[in-house]
Amino acid sequence: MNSGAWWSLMLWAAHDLGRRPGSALLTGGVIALVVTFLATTLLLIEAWTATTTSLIEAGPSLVVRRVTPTGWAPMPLDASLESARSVTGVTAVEPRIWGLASSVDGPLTVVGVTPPLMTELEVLGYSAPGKGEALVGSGVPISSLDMSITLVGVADVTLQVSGVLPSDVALAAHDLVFLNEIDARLVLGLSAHEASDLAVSVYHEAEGTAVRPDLNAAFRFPVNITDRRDAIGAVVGTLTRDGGLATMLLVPALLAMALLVANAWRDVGGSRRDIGLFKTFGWSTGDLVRVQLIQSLAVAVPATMTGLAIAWMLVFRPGVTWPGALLLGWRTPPPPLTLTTDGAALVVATVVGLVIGPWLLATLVPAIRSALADPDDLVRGGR
Amino acid sequence: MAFARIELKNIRHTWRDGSGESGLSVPAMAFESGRHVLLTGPTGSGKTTLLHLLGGLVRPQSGEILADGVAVSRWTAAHRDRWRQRVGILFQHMELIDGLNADQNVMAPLVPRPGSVRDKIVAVAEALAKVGAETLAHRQVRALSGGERQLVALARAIVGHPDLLLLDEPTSHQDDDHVRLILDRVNEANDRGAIVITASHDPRLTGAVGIDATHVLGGGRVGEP
Repeated sequence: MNSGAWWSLMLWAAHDLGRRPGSALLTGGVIALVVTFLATTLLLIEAWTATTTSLIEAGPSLVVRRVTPTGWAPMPLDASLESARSVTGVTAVEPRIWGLASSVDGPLTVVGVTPPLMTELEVLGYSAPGKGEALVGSGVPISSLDMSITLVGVADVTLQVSGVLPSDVALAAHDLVFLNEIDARLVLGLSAHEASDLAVSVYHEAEGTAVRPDLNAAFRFPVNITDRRDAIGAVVGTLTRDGGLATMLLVPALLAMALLVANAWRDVGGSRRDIGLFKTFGWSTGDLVRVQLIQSLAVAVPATMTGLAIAWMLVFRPGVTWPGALLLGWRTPPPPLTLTTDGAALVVATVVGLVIGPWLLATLVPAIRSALADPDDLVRGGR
Repeated sequence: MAFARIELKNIRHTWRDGSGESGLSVPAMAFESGRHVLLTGPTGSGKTTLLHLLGGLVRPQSGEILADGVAVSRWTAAHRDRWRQRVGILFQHMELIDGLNADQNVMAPLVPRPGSVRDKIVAVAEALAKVGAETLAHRQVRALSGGERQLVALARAIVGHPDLLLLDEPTSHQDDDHVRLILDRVNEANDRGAIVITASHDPRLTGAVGIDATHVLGGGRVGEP
């Protein structure tokens, strides 16, 4: 086919589509809505899983906490370090200082900046908070008058905010308040000889499971040990539960797509007379399929791109918080998360396949079937 | 290049219509280049079916249609698509595409053919002018009278300069002036070497200038009068 014929077919397809602008716009709008809904749900689940998993993988292999009949309890520092280090396979043990404190707007997580954490903050470009200072996550409410924050714990302290962490670490640090270790111990009621828990490192992932019994037995008090697999399992478990809700919400979207596909199938099948007429003019089956393909793509591609763009913005643009609440059933307003786009390409390809595939089938198959029939049958039958 | 000769051999074809099953039997018939043949006969005698067989719109149930000795009726679907590009057809019921303007209807046969869009637009304007329908170019066909629709359908049939022009009741909605105009256009096609076959009840065409032969269909068979 030469370029003149191609151009003619393109123009013809565009003009033919223009004969039914309302129908084309409505169809495109429905496709865009379905894609938005589908892509937002799948992207949110994928991005949240990927982001959380990468955060967990960056954390310690094992976390050991002391448990008592009344709940968590501080760990005696020296004895706990000695117990953990005595276990074969343990390569490093770091005590961590953290716990919950209250603020005027609700509970916050207080973290004492120990030397390893200090290094991580410096990598991010922040200096560790000095005495009386606080480095806070992007979701922590601070007084706009004097940039201070008051924490209510075992002791009440008012601290000067020295910095606010960026929103791209919000998933990990949204409600965190980093304090000088001394201030943190004061707020949490930990003495200099106590830690909240221990971060334990092992050589490789599989060892984490293997050393758990030995680690458990090494302490003279009951402990709870979690490894990365537990943490990731908790995330996946939450997503399985919340994703169930999202899946239920997807049903109407998929139903709408199915109706759209059925309608397109009927519409194209209903234009058998016109297809027959074009055949009588010498249009080949290929010509008819090309025009139908151009028209189908002209509707579906912009609509799909629009839907994907909206979904992408809703999921990955920091500050948009309601999709998580709506689709995953998060009960509290979620933080303005910055999620990783790793794995998003596969989700986008899946959504495109789920929408464009059936749409093309619904529009092309009836056209091909009609185009293969005798024109006489089509013209007489459609009269 | 125009066809030198199109032949029908032992064509038998039956179809169902409102009055039951009808049939067409053509033992032998030939159409020569540059000739205008008139098919007449009562309603249901198979005139339209014969045109549709020649136009490649339907395959004969038995027998052969030969173009310059090649059995085109046995061709595959893709070859028959190409055959129809050499055929111009004016349907008895016009079969215009509602929702399109007259010029867009005339453009339809040219769309997948080689050539620039500009050349095709010129060809459409010329075809409409030839049948005296240039003023109808931008009007919706559903708003046209029967006679106007027939002129647009004729323009659509001749726009691609077909080698085989098939006209089914082309004058049924026309006054005498337009009948002469239509015959003039047919004669022009003949002059190019095209074969023109007209199926008609219209007595004004019997013996008209330019008609080279008349075949009378009836009783399910066709032959020279």
